[in-house]
Amino acid sequence: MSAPGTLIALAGSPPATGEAPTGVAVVLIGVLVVLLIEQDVLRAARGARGGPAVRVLSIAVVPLLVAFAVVVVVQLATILG
Amino acid sequence: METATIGRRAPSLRAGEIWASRVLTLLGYLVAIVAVGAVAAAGAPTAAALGHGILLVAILTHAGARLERARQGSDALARGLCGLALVPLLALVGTALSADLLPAAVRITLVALSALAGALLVARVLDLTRAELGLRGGSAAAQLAVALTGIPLGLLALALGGARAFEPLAGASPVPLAVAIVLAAAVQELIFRGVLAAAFGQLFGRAGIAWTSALFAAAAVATGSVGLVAVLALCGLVWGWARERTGSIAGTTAAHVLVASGLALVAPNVLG
Repeated sequence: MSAPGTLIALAGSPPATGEAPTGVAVVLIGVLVVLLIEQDVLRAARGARGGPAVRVLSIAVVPLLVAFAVVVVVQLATILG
Repeated sequence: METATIGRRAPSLRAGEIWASRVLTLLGYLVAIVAVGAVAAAGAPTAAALGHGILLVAILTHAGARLERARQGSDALARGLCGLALVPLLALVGTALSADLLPAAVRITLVALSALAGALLVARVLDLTRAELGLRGGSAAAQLAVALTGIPLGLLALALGGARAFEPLAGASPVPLAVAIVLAAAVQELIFRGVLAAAFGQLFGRAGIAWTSALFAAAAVATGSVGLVAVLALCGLVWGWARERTGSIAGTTAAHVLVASGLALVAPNVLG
């Protein structure tokens, strides 16, 4: 059983049903891909710097990459060990 | 004379339309955040993550499009949307890391660090200063007074059953959990009383406190605890007002630590 809400909502929502986290990881990578493609399209249209829209989209990229990396590493560790 | 009267009224009508448009836009996002939180509380993490992800992409794309049109980075609604994006971002990262894959303290720390990265990126995009983020000391007595609000608010949360949302943390090592609580509270205060308070203050003036308070409470809908959501709405109002009066988030962070540690650490050990 996971921790619902954990610290005043910081940890977000719980997979209270015991649902496998694979679905959430797929969503995570999906969102990342959409953001990166959107950034690439904007850069292609507006030049390498891309303008403020590219900077705004980058807000979510680093936190989502960190979360995805953690999920992958932990899943691999679970499978291998 | 007639023309002059109409000429004077036109700008105020335009301002009213802009204000209504901003309110409706943000209200739409707020309702969507609450709806996705309710899905999470119902025990459907993948659907909730999908909802958070769609909201995140929508809000960021919306903000980016408005900033592109403004070209000066001075669009107040776009700035508010950049701050607002932190709420689904926080929820999405939290959902991804909320499974039983890691110890609670590690999980909370990782979510907090990811959220911190997001908050700092938003602060950079919006060119927020340290003072605008509330990162200054201020009067020690005033900050202590603000910090002490955490005691009655924590007791109220306890009375309304808020501790139930923290029950799964029972059994976690207290010291790492305490460290994680302090970090998480500090990051959340930076987000809600720092970034969001600055962005929504520019949009709505003092009414921005009510908006950040509503978002603070909306972020807790996923816990499924109505009492906790109500207390957090109150916390948001009290701490938002205190932050505006004192200009610092030091006291609100200490109060937040008191509430969270009371519910997660003290209540399970003292009350069973």
